[in-house]
Amino acid sequence: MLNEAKVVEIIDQSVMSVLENMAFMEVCRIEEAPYSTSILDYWAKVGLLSPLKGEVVLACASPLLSEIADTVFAGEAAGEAALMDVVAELTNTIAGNLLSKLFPSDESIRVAVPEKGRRGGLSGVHELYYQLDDGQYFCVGYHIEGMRLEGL
Amino acid sequence: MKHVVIADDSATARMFIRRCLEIAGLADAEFVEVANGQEALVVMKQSRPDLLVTDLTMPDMDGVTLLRSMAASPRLNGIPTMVVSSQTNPQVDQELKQLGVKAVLPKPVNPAVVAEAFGQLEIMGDEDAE
Repeated sequence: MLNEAKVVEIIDQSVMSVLENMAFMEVCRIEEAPYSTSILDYWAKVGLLSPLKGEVVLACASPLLSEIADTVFAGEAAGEAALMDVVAELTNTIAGNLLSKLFPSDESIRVAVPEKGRRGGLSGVHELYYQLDDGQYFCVGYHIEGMRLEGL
Repeated sequence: MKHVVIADDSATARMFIRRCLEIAGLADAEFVEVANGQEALVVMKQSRPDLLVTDLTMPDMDGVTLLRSMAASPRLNGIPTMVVSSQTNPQVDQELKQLGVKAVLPKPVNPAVVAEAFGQLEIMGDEDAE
């Protein structure tokens, strides 16, 4: 049976690893959003296709995404397309890590190509919040079909 | 000079992988970046690379289909290939290695892990050694 605490633990590890490796940023999980989630206007969603169905969403504010994009692209590209691409790649990595670690001996693990958008990407998901030292934060949401949102 | 093809639908991933490859020892390589397996096949048929780095999940043609096409092509068979993907586990690694992949690295990668994988790929000649 899938353990939701394990899902959260894997997402935590993946979020911290991807931000540290790609952007040299340290983040920690916080219990609730420190201020309005309306600022988290860039989102990407990656569908979990196999062996279970669901989705992982990451929503982030443009200033934080710009910082990450500046690090990855060494200041070469920080336009709208670059910000969308960064949030999609972060989400793709977290979603793939989640399935890889939940099902370490299953060759059928598969995620979808990311969807990207502006505003409103967090509906219908369980939300986890992560904060940087400077107070900026972002949200990772997840939904797994058949999993009850309890037991955390 | 080494010729490297990086296939990933994310420009962020391509740039990040390229920087890791450069730091790991391929600073002087010529890089060609493509967004899917179909584009990778086209550029590799034009000029056989010394290394292919590919993702698995890509639109139009995914990484596994690309690897199967390469395995079936006398022209592309045997190109040293590294998969960099968030969807890896021991079972997937085994399947990929049966398709000729030399190294499978989980995202997010870093230069140290890439440098270690170069040992499995045997692509570093004397002119590239640090």
